[in-house]
Amino acid sequence: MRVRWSTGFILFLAVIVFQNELSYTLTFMSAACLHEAGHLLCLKALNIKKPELSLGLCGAVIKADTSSLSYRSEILVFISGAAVNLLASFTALIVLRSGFNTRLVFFFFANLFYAGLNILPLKNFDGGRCLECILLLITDPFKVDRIMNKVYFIGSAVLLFITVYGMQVFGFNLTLVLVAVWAVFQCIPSKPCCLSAS
Amino acid sequence: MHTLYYPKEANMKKLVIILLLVLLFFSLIGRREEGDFSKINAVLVSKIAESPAASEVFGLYESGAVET
Repeated sequence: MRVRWSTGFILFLAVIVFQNELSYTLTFMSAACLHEAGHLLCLKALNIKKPELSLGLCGAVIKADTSSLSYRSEILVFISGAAVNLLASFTALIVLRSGFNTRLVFFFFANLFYAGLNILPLKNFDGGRCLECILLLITDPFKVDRIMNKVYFIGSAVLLFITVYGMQVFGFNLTLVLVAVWAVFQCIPSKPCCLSAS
Repeated sequence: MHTLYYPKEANMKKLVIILLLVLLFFSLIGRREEGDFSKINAVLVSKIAESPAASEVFGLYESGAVET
């Protein structure tokens, strides 16, 4: 597997590390790693060779040649990341029930956040791509394109609402401002280019 | 004959990477005692403690963190 990283990723990492304690940053990063590991394991299981992991300003993106996959297999690849995050959250909850730990609460919510964010029906997000594949199984591509444009608009509005609401609940801080800026950035229409976002 | 040269863009990219690595290094050294994530976590834990149903789900009663 090839790993690429950009200067934007270092900037993102520097801001997150500067704004937070290392243990919390590592916990948050572990949720991201679990998410991408889920996708990579699924690609490996489906015998997709040489996936490429790109680390950029907006997180990690996996690029792979999935042209040989059926829509059903692609759906499996898209949901695998969120599924691993949900599994990690569930495991954390079981451990929490045997002994409460505030750091483990963060791990639980970080994984839940990652799973929830990625299954949102947004452009270049796992949820958006997954929904696109489901619709392609039942209707023609032109109709899917029209439906998805409307879904992406609604999804972007939902993401913005969640971000602004989150900022009100947790207080305005730089990490959340970055998330909000990133949410706005995701709302800008862009060319579909890769397998998984964030 | 080959001529070795470094384009300006490549040098600028190297410079930006070095500056960002320096920023990352200082971020690691001067990291905060209480950051954004810990503040968010504190709010989440207090919300769990406020709700009896959430406290039960997260095992706060069993652990003795919240008195029944």
